Amino acid sequence: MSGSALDGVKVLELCSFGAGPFCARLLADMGADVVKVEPPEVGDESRRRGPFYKNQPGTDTSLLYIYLNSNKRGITLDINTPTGMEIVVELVKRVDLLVEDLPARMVGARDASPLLDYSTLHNINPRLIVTSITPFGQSGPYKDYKAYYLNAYHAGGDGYMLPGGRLADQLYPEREPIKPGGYLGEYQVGLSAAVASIAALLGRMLDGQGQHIDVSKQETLINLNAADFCQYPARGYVENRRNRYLSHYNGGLYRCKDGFWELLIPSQRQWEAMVKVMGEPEWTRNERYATQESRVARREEVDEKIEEWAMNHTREDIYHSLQAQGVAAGPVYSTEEVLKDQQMEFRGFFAETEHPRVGKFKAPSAAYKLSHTPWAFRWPAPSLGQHNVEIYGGWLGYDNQELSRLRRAEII
Amino acid sequence: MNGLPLRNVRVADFSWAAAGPYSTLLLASLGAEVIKVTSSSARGGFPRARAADVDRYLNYNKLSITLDLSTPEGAGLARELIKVCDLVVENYRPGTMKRFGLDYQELTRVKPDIVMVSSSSLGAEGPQSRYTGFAPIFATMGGLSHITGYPDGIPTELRLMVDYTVGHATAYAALVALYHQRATGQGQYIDLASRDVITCLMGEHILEAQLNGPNPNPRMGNRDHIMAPHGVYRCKGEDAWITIAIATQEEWEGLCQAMERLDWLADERFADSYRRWLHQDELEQLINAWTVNYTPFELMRLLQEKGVAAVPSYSARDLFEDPHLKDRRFSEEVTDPSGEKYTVITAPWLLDGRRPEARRHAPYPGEDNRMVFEGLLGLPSAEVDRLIEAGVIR
Repeated sequence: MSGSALDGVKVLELCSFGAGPFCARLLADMGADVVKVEPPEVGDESRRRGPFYKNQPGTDTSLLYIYLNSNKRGITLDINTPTGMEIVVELVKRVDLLVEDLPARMVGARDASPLLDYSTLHNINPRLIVTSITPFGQSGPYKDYKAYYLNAYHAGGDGYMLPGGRLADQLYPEREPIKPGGYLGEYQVGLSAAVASIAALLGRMLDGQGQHIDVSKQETLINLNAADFCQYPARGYVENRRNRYLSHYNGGLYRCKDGFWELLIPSQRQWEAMVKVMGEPEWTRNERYATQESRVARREEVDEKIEEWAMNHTREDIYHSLQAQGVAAGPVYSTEEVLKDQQMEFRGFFAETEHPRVGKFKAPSAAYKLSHTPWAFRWPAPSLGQHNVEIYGGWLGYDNQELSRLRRAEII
Repeated sequence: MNGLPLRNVRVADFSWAAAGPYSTLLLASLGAEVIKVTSSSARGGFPRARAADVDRYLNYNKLSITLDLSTPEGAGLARELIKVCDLVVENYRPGTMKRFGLDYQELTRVKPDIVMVSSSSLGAEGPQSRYTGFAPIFATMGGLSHITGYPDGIPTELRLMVDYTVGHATAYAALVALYHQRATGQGQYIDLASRDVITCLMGEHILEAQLNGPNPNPRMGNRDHIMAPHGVYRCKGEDAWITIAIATQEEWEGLCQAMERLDWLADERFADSYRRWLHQDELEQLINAWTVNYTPFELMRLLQEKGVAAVPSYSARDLFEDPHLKDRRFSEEVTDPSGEKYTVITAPWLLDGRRPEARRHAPYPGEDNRMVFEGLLGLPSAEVDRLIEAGVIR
């Protein structure tokens, strides 16, 4: 029976860089037939962004592009031409879902690309679901504001609170707030867009109607800290990098002999277990540290002492000895160390994949193992226009002469 | 679309802490009927200091029942509930649901096409599956902390947003399986590892480490490999900052115009994007000297008008005072049965131009016991009375 979960779902992706392509990738991973549209000659922006295989920039050596676009087929098309736009319309007639990240002003009613207006698309294909991803959404005073991934991340409110914590406070109390590493915000938005897209597919089973999903990067990112942000309307509390250290329980980031590690002590029981693991040092018997409240009130002292102990132990030692007693602790792993993680190996998390230009390598599969329709690597990220003949020929019936005319006109 | 997309989906929600409840909040906001099952016999929830606080922002739009799952009757009632549900979500320590007789194998006996999602720190099985995790640990062990921080600094602790990101992945996997179930009649079991969610969000680093070797400079702060200027600059006011990112020559010219530094257009150091990248330390100082004279929102207006990507580093206060977000109705006031009002942040998407509402307050534990046991499961009122007496429903 099984096959793949999204068998038969056809997706057209008109996106570049991070969020949109990741949304489409997640769908492709679960078996959707995803066709990615790229501008001719230059392709998706991420092709020009590293990291590059062996640090050699090239259209097919971007590891970012490869990761974000595996399991998809790729075509080229210049949608900024009347013919290109006509072809988009023909393509959307044949798909279930369009994922696009064009600026809101390009998609509204008064603009350069009126055919991509949702109500027009809906008339062309009433079953079509359109997931639109923009920094600030399709409406509102900032809808036409420009934002790259740095701006969008900080628009979501999380950047303002980073880094924070005891060590950050000690090392750099006055420095600027930062965004996390890599393109986390882009990935988070893509994931959120995928949730809504699948929901819409489910909803369509009930009434046969499509839906317009308006994803604002800012709103997605705000959502990821909702409970903390709501402390502002609730009691005027604004969390920032400095007060992040003030918390309800002991724990945080600490140094140790060979790096850094993370700890949480949410209750007395874990504290007592921790004391045991530390060898019941004298200082823990002091009244000052007897209760959760008293330890939190004296968190700087407690943390200095915990770190003193930790400096004599490695991350692995600390991790396993604390976890054996039911205490939440975990090492900071470098990327190389993540690749060697035993638990991930047990899960088969890293899948053997390959790519014509780059060769064989292990790539993250999925965090979720589905018992009947598991994640699968189907094919590598496409080269630019790799599936032009297949899609234009197969879906739209264009012959090679037509394709070469379109190519000469730089439409594809 | 005629109504919320998940309006015919019912979820038995055994989750606790943050990630699990957030995933079911997303489902509830999309229209699902989410019945939160709190077991008095399963340890769970945040320490008391935060519990009431966080609960209201995570559990609105849901129903709540209470059951002692450690009793055969309690577990039996849970199975009765699951019989009329499409989806089960849980994030107890691996082994717990089996102890209650509520593991996937058992549940397929009562509902063969059930979709069950088990979310854990590191996976349902394996050498570390029983280890305790929480948001910062998913980030440190997933590799994200190592690549986050100032270039000359240390790794960074990440928190609540990691939980909510895991919640998104949980909702995604559940809905994918539900789609398959609706299309084919086949349910399935999903084993989700929270830590693994994080590693998936930095896949290019995994490829790089393997194919190019370790990166000697894993942390970039706010900088970019290509764009410059690209950073966060100090503004007028207490702890106030603006983010600016320049990708094109036009945007650079826009910045120069806004800063009234047209002389920079002829400055050798900044002549093209490559040179701007080489001289970004200088540029950072020069820009900071200018931005300190303005508030972040003044700068956003001024710079966006010149086509420059400039956006404040929003604080919680900024979010709630922002005219754009007010217009987008990103938050909503909820009224508790006690009459108390509180503000929640609603779902992150508009569906056909409408924000999914906060249609119900976060329930009190067991608030919907009668409605669910009598109304939905059809138990006689006297029977429910007896079960409450006996402590099975509590």
